[in-house]
Amino acid sequence: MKNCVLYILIILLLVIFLISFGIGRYPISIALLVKVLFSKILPIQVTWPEVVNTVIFQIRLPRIIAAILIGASLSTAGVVYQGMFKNTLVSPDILGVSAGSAFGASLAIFLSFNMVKIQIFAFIFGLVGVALTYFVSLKVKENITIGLVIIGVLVGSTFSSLTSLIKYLADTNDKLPTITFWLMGSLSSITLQDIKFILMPIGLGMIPLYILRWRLNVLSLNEEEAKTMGLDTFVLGNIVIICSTLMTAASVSISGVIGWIGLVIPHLSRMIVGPNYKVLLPTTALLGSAYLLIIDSFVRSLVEVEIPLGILTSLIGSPFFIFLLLKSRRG
Amino acid sequence: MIKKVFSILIVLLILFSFAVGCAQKDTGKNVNMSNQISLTDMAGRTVTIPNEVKKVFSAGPEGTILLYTMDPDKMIGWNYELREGEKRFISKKYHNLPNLGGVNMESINVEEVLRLAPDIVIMMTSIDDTSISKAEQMEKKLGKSVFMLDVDINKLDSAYRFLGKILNNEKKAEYLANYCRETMNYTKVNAAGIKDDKKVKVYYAEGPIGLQTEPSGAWHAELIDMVGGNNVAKVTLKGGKGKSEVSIEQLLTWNPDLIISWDDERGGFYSQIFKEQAWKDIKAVRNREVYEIPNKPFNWFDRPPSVNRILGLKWMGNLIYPEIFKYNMDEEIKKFYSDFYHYELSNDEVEELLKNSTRH
Amino acid sequence: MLEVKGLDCGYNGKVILENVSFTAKEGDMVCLLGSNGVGKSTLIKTIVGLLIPYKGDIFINNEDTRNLIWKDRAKIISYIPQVFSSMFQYKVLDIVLMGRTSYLGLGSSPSKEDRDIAMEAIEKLKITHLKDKIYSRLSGGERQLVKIAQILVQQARIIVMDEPTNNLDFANQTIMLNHLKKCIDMSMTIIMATHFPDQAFLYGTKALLIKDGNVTEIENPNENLTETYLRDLYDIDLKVISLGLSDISRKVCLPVF
Repeated sequence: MKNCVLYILIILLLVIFLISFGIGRYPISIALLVKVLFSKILPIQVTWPEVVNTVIFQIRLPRIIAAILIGASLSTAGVVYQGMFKNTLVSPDILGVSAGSAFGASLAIFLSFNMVKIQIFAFIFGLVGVALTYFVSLKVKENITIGLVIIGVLVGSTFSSLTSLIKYLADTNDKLPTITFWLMGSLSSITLQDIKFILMPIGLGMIPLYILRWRLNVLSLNEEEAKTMGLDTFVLGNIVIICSTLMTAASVSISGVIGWIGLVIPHLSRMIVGPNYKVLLPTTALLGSAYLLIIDSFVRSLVEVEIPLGILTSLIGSPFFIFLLLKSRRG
Repeated sequence: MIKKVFSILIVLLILFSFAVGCAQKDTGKNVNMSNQISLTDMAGRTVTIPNEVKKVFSAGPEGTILLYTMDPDKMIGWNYELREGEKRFISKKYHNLPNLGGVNMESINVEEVLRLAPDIVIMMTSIDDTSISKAEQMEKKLGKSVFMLDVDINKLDSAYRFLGKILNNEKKAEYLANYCRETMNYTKVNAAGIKDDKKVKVYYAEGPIGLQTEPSGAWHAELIDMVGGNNVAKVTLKGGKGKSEVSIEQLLTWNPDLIISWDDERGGFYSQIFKEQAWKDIKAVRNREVYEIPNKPFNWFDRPPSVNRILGLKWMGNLIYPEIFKYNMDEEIKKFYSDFYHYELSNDEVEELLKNSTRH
Repeated sequence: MLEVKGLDCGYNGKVILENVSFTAKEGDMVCLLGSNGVGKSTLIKTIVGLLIPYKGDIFINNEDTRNLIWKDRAKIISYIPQVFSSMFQYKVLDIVLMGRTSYLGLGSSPSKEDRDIAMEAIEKLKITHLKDKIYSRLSGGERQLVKIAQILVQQARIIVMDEPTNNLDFANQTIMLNHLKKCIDMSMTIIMATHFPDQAFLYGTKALLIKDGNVTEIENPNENLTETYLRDLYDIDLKVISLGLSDISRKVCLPVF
């Protein structure tokens, strides 16, 4: 039955994937779209203007792939953290990765670096944020899980203050809006180059989590129970932190901060298939991909101007979350 | 079973994206060479420009204003929804051009731009690695040349000349460039002669309560520096900072001779300044030397930092040092609006523009 | 067989119990008796490896447990803490299956075989009707039984429990203890902390009395656990009474007012 849900989601994602190729401000008929897509595999005479290729392969394709990867990454990171921290209000940012990335990107923009360096800075400072949280919390003798959460909040807010400082110092004409826009999150400037940049860290994060997913159930139990059942919670916890951080930092580095998805999608998935990670993890990944893909398709087609994606995900995310909470309370 | 489906899906996705990524490299370069020229833009990049440019997209309001002054018929859109003040002095014909976004190049919907099929994109901004890489990214996404212009007010004349080459209208460009150059030179020469102790102390009141300002050296307030005014705000943060907060006590200590302020429409403080008790002892307020910055169609003083500021330079100079910058402002304004904004001002309109912005 | 030799244990640098030694063989039920906060849980956590001993050794089947990894440890000794539940709404079967963790490879999830083992345990405990219920919504007694099922599929020969009958109603306590008795009959070893001396009389093959950092070992408590010991242990006046039931003699401990 539950596998059934997965099959449906896979088909759903495929359908959305194909449909989103046909969505956009530049009008391309479905027939032409199919022809252009197949021309990459089959020898079809090119009868369409060059610009159609540009639209489909330079503009739509990178965004679609990015939405799939980032949607999957953020929601997966969210769902594994929620289990590990035994708290359903935890999001991928909990250990300071987004705050670190935001600071890194702001700093790079402030220093007038180019886009590649901005991404690298964002990625590295995301890792730095989590590393700081991790090593400081190892010093906290009490419960390491609680230590991580508290230190994570502290590190996050420190980085946020640093980001604010940079915003305060930044030139209001071009630096500040760039930083602000970055912080709002968007997939609009993603190129295939960026996809290559994130493919590796996201793969490195996703694959181990996918392989280990059944054990995440045990990790979500009381730590003492998990250990005496034969699970090395320390090792698995570290793997979870590393994998989630890689995925989140990579996503954030090319898209900016996209909120709520890592919180809402895990909840929704849990409502559909229950808490067993065996099915929950792939469900969350697929649902996250589909969700972000749909939202981004709206963002790039609704009006002449791009609405920053992060605004829309929070705008939809927070009321939706309240709805889910109310619903699960009743159930 | 489910595992297999998954791995197949992932492999397909990766293969697909790479195949497409690789396939893309050999396209987009088969343009007929005789139909284009190569030009080095203001960032030192070599940009190919089609011989005939009919439609231009400017990825930002600074360039859009420049484009509007040169040839509004070649614009394909604005970068934000036009405000009432802009609509008043811009021909109706252009009111309905779409808002394509692009304040600071963000929020541009590339597909929408592609749909409108510009021949070339211009990007007028400060030149640094960030903006260059953005231009390159956009070039790649759009498959159109992106020509970078420097937003520096000192380089406005060459920005015009480049635009003239792109639009194939070098005569007009030369005329506007000269106007900018001459205004700049005239201002510089005359401002250089003002002795430090004779300089008028100016405060730039920004924001809803007038207690935000731009320090000396910030580009937002560079007009004050350029015409030889003494910007009282010696705020510790140097460089291109924006809207620094100051306290009323600090302002009283500075005691400026003259205050320029945002108008009320822009969310400014102008109409309140004379009513505010705390402000009444400031020299500028006592002497009623408080002026509104004209804001139509484009602000004369700072944002956006385009050619609109050239007229602002004349206004500012004439306002602070009427005996040095002896312009007939009414005539200057009419000429500027006609030459640059394609708009013939009536005497009433001139008076309306200057209502709170000049000594009567 | 579990052997504890000269064990000093505690946590956060504080020694709570000193020089503890005892052995528990197959078929033994060791009852840990003592007042609140005396160190029963500390001893239990040290035995299962959650706390590191300051001194002394713990051997299981003559093997030093100090360097055992969790996976190997779980196959020989299992543990039921005082409180347990889950934030998440797992089904009972899922919870029981988690007992198989130590037998599963890194990337694998429970197989048909694991499922059969789990179902067998569930049937043995007569909780088949709970199989698809949400674990966190069960009553305390039902959860306790599920936990036992989980421990059974873990297939460790030694089970350590911290006050397993706490929060259980009278019937459930008895059901619980009968299940434990069956485990002993299958020559498993059970070590449990309890607040009821009666349980030691009835099921215990050995009692450990814990007081003031010292542990006193008493073989065959039904015979040897006297009033004096218990009075001393709990510092209250009490009486141990023998009841002559049909064929066996039973002892109960009653407070005296």
